[in-house]
Amino acid sequence: MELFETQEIGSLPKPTLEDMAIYGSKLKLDLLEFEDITQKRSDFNLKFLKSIGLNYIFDGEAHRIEMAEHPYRSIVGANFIGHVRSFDNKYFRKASVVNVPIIRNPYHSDEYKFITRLCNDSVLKIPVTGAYTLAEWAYNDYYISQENNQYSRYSRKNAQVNLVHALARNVIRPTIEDLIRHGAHRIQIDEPALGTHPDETILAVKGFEESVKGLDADFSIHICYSDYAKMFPAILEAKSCKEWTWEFANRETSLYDPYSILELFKEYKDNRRIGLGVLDVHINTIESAETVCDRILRASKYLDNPELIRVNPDCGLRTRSWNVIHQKLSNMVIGASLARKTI
Amino acid sequence: MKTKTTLIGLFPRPEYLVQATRDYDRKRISQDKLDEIFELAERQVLHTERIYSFDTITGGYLKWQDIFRPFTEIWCNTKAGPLTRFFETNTFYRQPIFSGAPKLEGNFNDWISEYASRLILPGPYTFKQLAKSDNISIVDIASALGQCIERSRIDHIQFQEPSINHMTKDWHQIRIAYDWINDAFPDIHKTIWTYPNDICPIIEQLKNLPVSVIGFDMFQYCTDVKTSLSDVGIGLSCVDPTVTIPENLSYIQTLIDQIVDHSQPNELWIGANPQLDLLPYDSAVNKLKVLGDIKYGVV
Repeated sequence: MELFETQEIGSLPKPTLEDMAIYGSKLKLDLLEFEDITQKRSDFNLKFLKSIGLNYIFDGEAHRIEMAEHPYRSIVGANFIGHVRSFDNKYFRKASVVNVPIIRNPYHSDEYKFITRLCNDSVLKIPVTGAYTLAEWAYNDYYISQENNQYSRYSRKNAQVNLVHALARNVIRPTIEDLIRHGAHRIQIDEPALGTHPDETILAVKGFEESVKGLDADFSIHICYSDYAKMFPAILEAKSCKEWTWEFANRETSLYDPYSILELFKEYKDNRRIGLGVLDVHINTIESAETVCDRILRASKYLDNPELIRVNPDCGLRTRSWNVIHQKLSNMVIGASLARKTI
Repeated sequence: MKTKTTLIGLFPRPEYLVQATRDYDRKRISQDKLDEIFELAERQVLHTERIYSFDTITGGYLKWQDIFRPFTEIWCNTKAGPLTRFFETNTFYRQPIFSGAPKLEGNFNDWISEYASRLILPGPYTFKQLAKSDNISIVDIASALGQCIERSRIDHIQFQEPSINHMTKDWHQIRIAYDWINDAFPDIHKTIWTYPNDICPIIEQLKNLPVSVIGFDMFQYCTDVKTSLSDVGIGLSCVDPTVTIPENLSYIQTLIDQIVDHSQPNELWIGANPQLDLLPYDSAVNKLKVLGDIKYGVV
């Protein structure tokens, strides 16, 4: 296995027919004919990422509406009650949990089966929204109404714990088991909600373990925009996790090196892989290959072991244009190659 | 003491307006048609505010895509930057980026209802903290906000200050900004609203600001606090935007009574929650009913 393998991390924009025509031709992508726009997008995204030379890819979540709405569509015990703004004029349908949540059908298997028709599964890494984030991004009406005082912090906490465990047990685990049955072996559990509640790391870790413990796959946990120091050492109890896939580049300034936090892994003697965020997905500025290389080398020093590093964007690139995405990811691949030669 | 009620933040858009903005983005409807639907939705919010006899009305600020957006459109030296998560929510704002001191250039009144009697603005401290603003001062921001206040001719102004919390150390800067506003607008009614944090550790500092009302999340307030609030008014966020189950009216009323007994404010405002836009429209309207019920003692 080569050093500094590269990977995508989450969602891409939904390409229009025009996008697919332009970049399909420009990048000479061998796109297949599909009637269905979702299948077209899935095929395009896979080939777009593959053409850039990434080691591990997915289809940019082309089959999914939104990372919380998509799972809740398949959950009995939750109703959508209306739209809530995500940003600008973009909205997502927010669910209210009104009973014990139970899966209606595993909601990623059809998507995975389709993608494996297009792409060798050895290069696939499938993202799955984690139990903690699913709980955080819905109205927890059922479990809160079971409490004596709906306003007390203790009741809120208790209700949240109950929802996370129910989602892990009744929804996420069956979904992952079914994915594994269909051949998935590299699975990224997305927990962006933990980014804003690092004090709830223990709960998120318990939800993760309940979702995946004992299952045979290579699990990673993606977290972004958090105060990672506050998650230590609780996060290390996620024993089934083999890779920490985190955002770093977004917080780099001339005065602060975000990769320095990696020393904590060394301090706690944690030798699991790091999915190293080297691209800021919130800006259009294109990181040069040299910048990417520098970030990888710095991280290697903090970890004392370059073999632990895989290279990725901070998060999904869905808010960037295709042109920016292409330039950023291309430089990431070149930067990783530079780092390989330099180290 | 009379209980006064008001909206205290952006109100969610009704479903038909959500659909219209989507249609507009996909070029399915014209700007004129979208404006017409915005007007209709604003009238609906104004009607709801009037039904519940709110003491100040807003129209819901439905055009605002986040609390900073109008200003990145109508101030010079200011542009909308990258999407950034808004505190602990699954919502994002476009970070304002300043290239120099901002000044009003556009028409601020296009962004507010002609019937609004309460102007809700991002507070200067929160603006400075959440923007990319290294090259400007907090007074630069206060001054540009002042231009908007002047144009609006509204005499109830509320400053949203979610960035003020127990970790805040820049009280000197905050004081300078609010002194500037007070000097410029001595006669208007000024409210500072913090959320969703516990204000007890910072109550003394907040009391020292030249504002008429201090607003906060009442579920976070601890009546053990020894400071009297008798020199100011208080504003209480008293519904919960994180659930859609019915509120417990008698519990809310009891808490309000306890806080009023304890703090003896000279004015009492109750508002739903500055983050009511975390709810879909219909659920948010249900929450407003709570305010009407409390105001008229239907508990």
